[in-house]
Amino acid sequence: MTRHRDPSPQDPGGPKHTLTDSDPESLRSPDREDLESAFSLLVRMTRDVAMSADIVSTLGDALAIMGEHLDARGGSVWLLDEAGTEFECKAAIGSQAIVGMCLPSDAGIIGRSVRLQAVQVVTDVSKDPDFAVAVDERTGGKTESVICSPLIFSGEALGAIIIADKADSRGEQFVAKDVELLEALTASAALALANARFARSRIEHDRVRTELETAAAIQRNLLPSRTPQPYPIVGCNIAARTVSGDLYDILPLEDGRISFCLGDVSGKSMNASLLMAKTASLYRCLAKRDASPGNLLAALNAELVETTTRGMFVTMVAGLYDPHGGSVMIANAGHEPVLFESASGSFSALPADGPPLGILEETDFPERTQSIRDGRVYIYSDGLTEATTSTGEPLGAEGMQAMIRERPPESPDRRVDALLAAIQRLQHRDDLTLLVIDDSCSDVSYCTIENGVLLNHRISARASELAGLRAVLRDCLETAGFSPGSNGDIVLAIDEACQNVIRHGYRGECDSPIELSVEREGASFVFRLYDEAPTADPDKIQPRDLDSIRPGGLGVHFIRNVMDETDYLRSPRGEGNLLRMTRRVD
Amino acid sequence: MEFKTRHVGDASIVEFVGEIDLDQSPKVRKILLGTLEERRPIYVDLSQVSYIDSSGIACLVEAFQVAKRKDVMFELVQVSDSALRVFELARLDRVFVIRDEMPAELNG
Repeated sequence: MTRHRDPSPQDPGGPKHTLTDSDPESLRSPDREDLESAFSLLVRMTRDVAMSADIVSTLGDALAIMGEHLDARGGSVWLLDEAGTEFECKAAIGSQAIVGMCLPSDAGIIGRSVRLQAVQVVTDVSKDPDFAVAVDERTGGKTESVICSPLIFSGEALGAIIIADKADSRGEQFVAKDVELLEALTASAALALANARFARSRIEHDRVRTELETAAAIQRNLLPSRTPQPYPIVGCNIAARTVSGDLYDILPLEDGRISFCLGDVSGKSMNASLLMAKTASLYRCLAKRDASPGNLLAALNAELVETTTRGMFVTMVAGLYDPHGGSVMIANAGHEPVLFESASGSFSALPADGPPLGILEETDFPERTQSIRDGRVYIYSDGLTEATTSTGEPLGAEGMQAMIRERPPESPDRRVDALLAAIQRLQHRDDLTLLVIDDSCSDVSYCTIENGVLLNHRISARASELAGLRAVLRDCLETAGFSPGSNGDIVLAIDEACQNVIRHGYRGECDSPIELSVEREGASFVFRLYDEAPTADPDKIQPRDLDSIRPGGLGVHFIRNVMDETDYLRSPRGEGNLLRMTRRVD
Repeated sequence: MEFKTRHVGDASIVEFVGEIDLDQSPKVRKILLGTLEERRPIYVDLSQVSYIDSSGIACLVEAFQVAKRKDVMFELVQVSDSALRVFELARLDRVFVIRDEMPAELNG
C-alpha cells in the first residue's frame, strides 16, 4: 500500500518529506556518535562544494563520500539542462554505466522530487510506479530502496541527487539522519551550482562587451585622425552605438588635391560595421590608383556587388577637392544631397544621381564639378538630418541650413567648431557623420572634433596627478553641457575609478599609465579608463574570484551610483584593463 | 589643500581649504588625529572645501570614531555644497553632526 503526499510531522519547512509505504516513526532517531561523524562529514562536503572550481566533479566526489558513509550500493547526481526539460546523469557511484544517461524532466523519482520540490524516501521501488526502470536496465542491477533530494535554488529546480540501497552492517534501511545529510548536501550544492551558472553568464556578458569594444577600437583607428597642420577639410563622426555604420576618409594626394569620401552602410549590425571597415579600406586602396570620383565609385561598386551579402548596400559621396583651383568634383551614389554654401551665403544642393553601391552591376556614377571659391561644402549622413533638436523635431535639410547660417561669420576660423558643437547637442539615434570643406580658411588652423572624442588624457598612476585630471575633465564636461552637479558627480566617479586602478590594479603608485577617454555615443557619454595592470583571464576566473578583482568599498559605490552603466573589461589594446562607464546627457 | 587651526575658548576650529583627495587626505588625517589628541571639542569647517573624495570622507569618519572613543565633541560646520553632495552619496549625511553655521561664540 502506498501513501503519497503524507506530510511528515517533524518537517519544519524547506523541502517537504514525501513518504511512501513507510511512516515517520519507523525512521530511527540518530545517536550522538553518528551525529558527530555525520556533522564533520557535512562540513567537509559543503566546504569542498563552496570552494570548488568544477562543481560537477566535486558533486561526484561528495556523492562518493556520502555513499561510503552510508554504505550505499548506488547513487547518482542528475542535473537539468538550462531549459529545464531533461535530466543528465553527471556522476554516479556503483555502476558508472548511467553517467551521461538522459531522462525527461518529469521521469523517475528524481522527476517527482523536482516536481514536488520535496525529498522522496522510497523503501521499495518496485511498488513505486514512477521509478525509472530504464536506469536498472542500463546498470544491469536491481534497485530496491532510494532516498532522493532535489537541488532547488530560489524556487528553481536545478537537478536531483539520489542514493540507493543502503546496506550497512546493521542491515538497516535509510534513516532520518541519512535523509537530513542528503538534504544538507543538496542545499549547498544547489547554491554552488546557481553561483557557477551566474558567474558563467557574467563572464559571457563581459566577453561580448569586450568584443564590441575591440571592434570599436579597430574602427576608431580606421577613421582619420587629427591632422596637425591647418586643413580645409574637417570630418566628424559620432557613433550612435559602440560600433558605427558610417565612414568618412580624407586622403591628400601627391599633386596637392585632396580625395575624400563619406559613406553610410545599410543596417545596424556587426555585419554593417564589418562592411564599413571593408569599404573604408577599399576606398583608400582604390583612391590611390584613380581618385576621379566617378571612376572610384564605379570600382567600389563592382567590388561590393560581387562580394557583399545580399541586401546590404552603401550610400556614398566621393569627391576630389582642388584647393588651388577652388573647385570640387563630386559623385553621389544614393546618398543625401551635398550642400554647397557660396561665399555670399546662398545655398545649393547636389542630389544623388546614381544608386547606392553594391546593388547594380556595371553602374556609371556621373561626376559634377563645382567652383567653391571662398565657399563651403557640407556632406553628411542621414543620421544628421534625422537627428532631433531641442524642439523634438528632426533637423532636416532646412534645419541644417539654418544651423549653418546661425554660426557667426565674424570669426570664420571658429565657424566650423561652433557648428560641430551645435551638432554635439542634437539627440540622435543613428550615427552622425559630417564632412566640411571650407575654401575660405585654408590658412587657419582647425580644432577638429574627431570621431566624437571629446577628451583623451593620460596620467601616471600617482595620487599627485589626479588633481590635473580632474581639472581637465571638469572643463570638458562643462563644454559638453553637463550641469555643475552632474559635472561634480562624474569627476568624483572618475577620480575614484583611477584610485582603484592605482590601489588594486597596479597595487601602489608607479609610473605606469592611466588613460581616460571621453566620447559621445548617441544619447550618452562614454568614459573609458585604460590601464596596463595585469588582467584576470576571464577563462580562469573562479566564481569566488569575481568579487576579489573588482574592489568594493565607497569608491565603487560612488561609481555605480553616478554612472548609468559600468563594465569591467579586458583592454582591447592588449595587456591591461578597461573600465567603461556611461552616463546619459543631462 | 590648505588648513588653518584656531582656538576659541577650549574649542579647536580646523578649517580646510581646497581639495581633499587621495594625495591630500593623509595630511588631513594627521591634522585631525593630532587635534583630537588635545581632547578639545573640535569644529571642522568645510565651507571652503571644493572637492572631497572617499579617502577624504574616510579621514573624517576615522576622526569621528576616535572622537567618540575619547568622548570628545566632533562636529562639522558649514559644509560646502560639493562636499555635502559627497556625504549624501556616501549616506553619511545623517551620521555626522553638521551645523549650518559656526556657533556665534566661536566667531572671530
